[in-house]
Amino acid sequence: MRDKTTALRASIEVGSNFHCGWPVAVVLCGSGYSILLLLSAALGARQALAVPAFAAQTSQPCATCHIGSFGPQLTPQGRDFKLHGYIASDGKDHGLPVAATTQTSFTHTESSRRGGAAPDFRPNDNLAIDQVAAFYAGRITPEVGGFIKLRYSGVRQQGQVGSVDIRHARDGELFGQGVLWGLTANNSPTVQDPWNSTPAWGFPYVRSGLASTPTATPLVAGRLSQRVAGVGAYMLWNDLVYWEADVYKGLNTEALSWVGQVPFDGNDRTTTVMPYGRLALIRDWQSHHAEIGAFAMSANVIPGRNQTSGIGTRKTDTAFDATYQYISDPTKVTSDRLSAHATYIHETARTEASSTPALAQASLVHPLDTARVDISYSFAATVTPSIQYFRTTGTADVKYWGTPNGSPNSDGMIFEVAYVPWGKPDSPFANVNVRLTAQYVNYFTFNGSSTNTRGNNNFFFGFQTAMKL
Amino acid sequence: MPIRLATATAFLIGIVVAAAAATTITVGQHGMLFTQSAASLAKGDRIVFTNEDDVIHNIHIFGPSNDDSTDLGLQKPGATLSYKFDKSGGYRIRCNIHPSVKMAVTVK
Repeated sequence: MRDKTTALRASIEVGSNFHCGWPVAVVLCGSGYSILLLLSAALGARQALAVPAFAAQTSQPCATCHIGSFGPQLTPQGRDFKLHGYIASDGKDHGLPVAATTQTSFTHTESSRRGGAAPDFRPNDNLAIDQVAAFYAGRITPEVGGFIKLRYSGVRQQGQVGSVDIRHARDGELFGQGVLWGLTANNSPTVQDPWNSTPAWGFPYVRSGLASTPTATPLVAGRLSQRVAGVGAYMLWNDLVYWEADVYKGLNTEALSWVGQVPFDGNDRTTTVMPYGRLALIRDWQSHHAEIGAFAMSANVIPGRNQTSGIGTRKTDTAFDATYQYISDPTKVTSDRLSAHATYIHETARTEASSTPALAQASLVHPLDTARVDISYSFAATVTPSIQYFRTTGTADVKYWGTPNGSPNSDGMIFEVAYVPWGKPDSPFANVNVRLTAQYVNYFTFNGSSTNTRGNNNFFFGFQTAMKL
Repeated sequence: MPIRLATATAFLIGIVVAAAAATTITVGQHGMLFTQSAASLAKGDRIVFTNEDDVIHNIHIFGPSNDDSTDLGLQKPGATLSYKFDKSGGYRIRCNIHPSVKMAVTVK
């Protein structure tokens, strides 16, 4: 174990020195791949596994819990494992449930970005080590399980605490029917959610960190990710009704620095207490799974790009989501699977009335609506083409949104094909899986403009690895 | 002689009746679910579990008392395991790996 841990540390150190802009990128990325291949070779030959620590703990291939044999899109079994607190096990001792993942990529945008796509990157056609991450994923005690991610971003060149979700769950009975109830402690609204129709685990599951993305994003769709700490309780009654209530507290500047977040960046800032609620109805029959639900969150924040000159804003997000999955043969984890998700979020941002000259001409209420619909079909849990339409609309305000014409509107489509060779019951490699992704993002409107949007379109080719240490 | 014959016949009939009374039912693990969610058995009856999925299962039987627990161990795809229910009462059966694989058994 010590040798493998040392190997991971070496891999992270390589990542931390990586900038991967031309021309050094090829040489350094080549070194990175060599190390990954050496690690893979060192891990022997058994069944390949998903967040591989979870997979090792349960003796299951990745495809049991993940559509397409690679996270984060969950099957009904994956949701069940998560809701039961990540503690299901085959009873064997597999050592500490520690895993490592890497994500490397090539990004081409249709127009080069002046000054570089990011610090130390070229204006276009960049290779990058997007992320090297270590996970504690599995049982913490016999009754408590968790998912704790530490990552190094090769684009931001910064180490961070990533997603965290620690749970305790129990089965019981309520009104004569089975009930599963649990507690969660997590650091990002919706990271605890078991459906991929909520923002934290929604499509696209991987994307370029070097391509421009639209400015306007609702609070619940990532603006507080890893910048809050929360606790909550959830309940699944009669495999029909899912209910959850959480309360979050924004981290202060010192805590944000400690977890590797930049305290004053484009994200919203808050140290207040924020409620989050979730309700969903689910139905499983034969080869089908359907979910329809809603979630909501409200918070007092200081918008992150200084668009209110530091004046507090009450943001309230109300969202509706739906998931449908069809599994062609439920007895085979490698059977074809159709998956579709829809998400709609309405945000009202109400800025405190003020005589501040900077806001004198500005509107004090900023509604924002976002909608996303995606569908994918996984062939034999190996090749998964996906397509998504996304749309964001809101009331124009130059001061608030900071876009050239003041409009936050964007819409477009994402086309993707993912290839995962392993992670199935008969896969040759132990504790290792990889995913290759080819993705194209096409904007029809970008930050309020429907002309000159092509420059933001981008090709992304990603290579991800996952291994149990 | 007729008495001996009658005794032997009665004994054999008793064995046959006893054997017929102890039934065995087969429950499959199919698509990450048991093929039935509940069963009612008599004392001494047996369930044969058949793994029809392509992944490993691990059946665990709890009951009838809170302290009773039997882990049948890992069960590979296609493998069968059986368990005899010797005590009256309520049992809960679930897969240690897949919490959705669960059923209730009542033994009278």
